[in-house]
Amino acid sequence: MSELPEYIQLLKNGDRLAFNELVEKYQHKVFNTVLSITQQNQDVEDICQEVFLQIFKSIKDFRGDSKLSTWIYRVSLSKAFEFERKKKAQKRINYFKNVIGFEINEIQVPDFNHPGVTLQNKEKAAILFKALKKLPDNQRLAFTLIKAEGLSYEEVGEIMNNSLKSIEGLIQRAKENLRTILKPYYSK
Amino acid sequence: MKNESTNLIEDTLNSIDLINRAEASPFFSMKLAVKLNNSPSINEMPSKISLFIIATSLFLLLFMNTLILKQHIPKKQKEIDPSSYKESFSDLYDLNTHSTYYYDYKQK
Repeated sequence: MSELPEYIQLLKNGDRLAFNELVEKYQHKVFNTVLSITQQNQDVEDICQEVFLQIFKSIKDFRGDSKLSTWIYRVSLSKAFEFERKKKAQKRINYFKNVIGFEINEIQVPDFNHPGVTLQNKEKAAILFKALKKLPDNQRLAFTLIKAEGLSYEEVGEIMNNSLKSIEGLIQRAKENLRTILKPYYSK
Repeated sequence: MKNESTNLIEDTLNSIDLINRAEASPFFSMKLAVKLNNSPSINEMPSKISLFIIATSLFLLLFMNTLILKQHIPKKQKEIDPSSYKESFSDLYDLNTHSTYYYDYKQK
């Protein structure tokens, strides 16, 4: 249903019922993706709301070159990375203010705990998510979409505009890098 | 020891496979509907580009208008009081008077 041209036309015409259906279908996927990328429990819902508002605004520009789901993932990822960039910029400003003497009471962000993690797995998952943050963006993205979101290599290839081979390569390198990052932690 | 740490690393890597999908709150779509109702309709919303074009053309219009007006309306000439002229350039004035007098004298 969600990929039918008639349905997409309804969305382009601003049909609220069709849009509600889209929200119902994709809200958890968008939520899980944004959460895994940003690793922020507090802001994730606001970012997801922004994602859907953006989808509502720019659906008329959707040309149908890719699947609707692929396009929705792309919008979600661009919003997630935009949020990360803003956070990093804010951190830099706070650091600079600290250096020049302004006192900033920076709130210490606790380790990220994914809500879908079982209790016995909690510690390991927290370590893994911390290590994921140190990976290059494309490796982190491919690894997160395949492992946390459960997408296929083909789907990730479409989202990232990369071939199947390059996605396989990215996953391979991501695993190697994660092993290197985790090594000092476990050899203590 | 090395084997143990390798196993732990692999376990950590595989821990992501055991994660269930996180879900948005049950009020997510309701909150979104409120936001959508509060935001102006897309058709009514002027894009940033058109706003920029309107602002730039308005500025240019005003700028050109001022420029054209400046070129076409002549500057108001200052009315000079001859007595003040005489005061400020009194030496020159005397000299001129003198030379005219001298000339007249010679002619005579």
